[in-house]
Amino acid sequence: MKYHLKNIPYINSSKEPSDITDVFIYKKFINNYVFIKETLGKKNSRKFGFKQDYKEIFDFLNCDGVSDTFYISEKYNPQLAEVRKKISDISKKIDEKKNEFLNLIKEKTGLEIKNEFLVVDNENLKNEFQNYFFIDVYDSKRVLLKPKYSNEIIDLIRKREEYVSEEKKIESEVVAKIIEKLKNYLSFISDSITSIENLIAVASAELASKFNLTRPDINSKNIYIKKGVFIPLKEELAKNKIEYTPLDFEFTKNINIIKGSNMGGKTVVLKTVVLLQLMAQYGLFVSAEKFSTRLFDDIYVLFGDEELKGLSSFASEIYDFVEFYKNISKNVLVISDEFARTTNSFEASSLINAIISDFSERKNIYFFLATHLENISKFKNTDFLCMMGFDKKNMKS
Amino acid sequence: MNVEKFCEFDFIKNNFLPLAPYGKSYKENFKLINSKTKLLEKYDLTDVVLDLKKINLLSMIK
Repeated sequence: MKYHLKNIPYINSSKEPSDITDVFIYKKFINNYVFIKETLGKKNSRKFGFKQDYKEIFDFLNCDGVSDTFYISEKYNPQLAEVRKKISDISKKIDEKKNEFLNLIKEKTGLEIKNEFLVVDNENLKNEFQNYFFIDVYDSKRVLLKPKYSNEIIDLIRKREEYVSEEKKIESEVVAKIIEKLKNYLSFISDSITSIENLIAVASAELASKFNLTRPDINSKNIYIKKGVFIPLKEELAKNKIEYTPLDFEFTKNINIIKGSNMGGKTVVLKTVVLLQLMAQYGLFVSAEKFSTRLFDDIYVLFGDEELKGLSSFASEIYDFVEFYKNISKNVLVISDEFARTTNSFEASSLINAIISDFSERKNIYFFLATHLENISKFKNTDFLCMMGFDKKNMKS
Repeated sequence: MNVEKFCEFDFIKNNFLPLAPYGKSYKENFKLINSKTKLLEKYDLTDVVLDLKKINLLSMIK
């Protein structure tokens, strides 16, 4: 399975096959598709949408035995066998005749030709060489010798070229025939690509097994997390043998203000919520024992764009907020970690109160704000949540 | 701010290893899906693979 998934080539199904390279790619696709389908078995392959039957074209493309490579078999056209035999026979004859002549050269001149030519120093050039070689200047000190083959050999080479061009003509006809046949399967190919895409589930399942992920429930009104894990942090802590405390909570209101001391874990809560939601809406299982949520059109993190050079942190944060606010009609999960942290606390609380007041009137906004500011007002549909801080019971000296 | 960057999604991405070129392209272009039907299909197929692993058809996946 792994082998075939790795080997299945990418096909642009909107483009028809047009040459031998396309034939090779289509053959490779069909072969690997057929093997994956077989490996999955009848019942499971149907679940992934593997319903196309390629038997006829599979047999046609693999007429010389199953292989991922493509060779224009003589079985596609008997004339191909004839012309290839002629090429083979005449090539043998040419080699024989050439070898006879090269041996004669060696006997008469002592020179051994290996690559159809030889370079010799001017001072070693002899008159008798003209009987056996065409002689050309190579550079100021050397000459190039090419064997002077007989007319018989030249005629044989010309004949072979004729056969080769005949072979190419037949091969082109065969390829055109195969392409026409493949075109009948284009809709099959398009559906098959969807089935192969569905096998992304293999990678999702591998990921789920590795990190103990679970299937999210996306039919909830609220966000409920039981033993939610922010995997990057858990893995980092595990390296240092530090135990990770998972997140348990049900967020029942649309506006959630998370308070708590610095280093109390507010940011990790936000990151956990975003990671779980993102994984769920990317079609992945999630890192929680139980995660119930609803679906959002977008997830937005208000943080200020670091790319906005020339603006202060506060200005870029406000700019980011204004950009977000332009599309406020969408169903959005909005996250903000210490919004307006770089301005004075009076200005910050005023801004935050104004934002919460606005958001609390909207049903399409699900807002999480981590802050350590104290004077945040209570609006409708707003929950104030506080991090639990140290687990005193388990503290060690 | 980029949502993936905020929640360090690269960690997940680096451990998500599709084999076929179609899967690789999916990985490079993750998009937020808001269709319940599409998501449930994806979860169902992941469950199918997990079940296959359980009944030791894992050899076909590994």
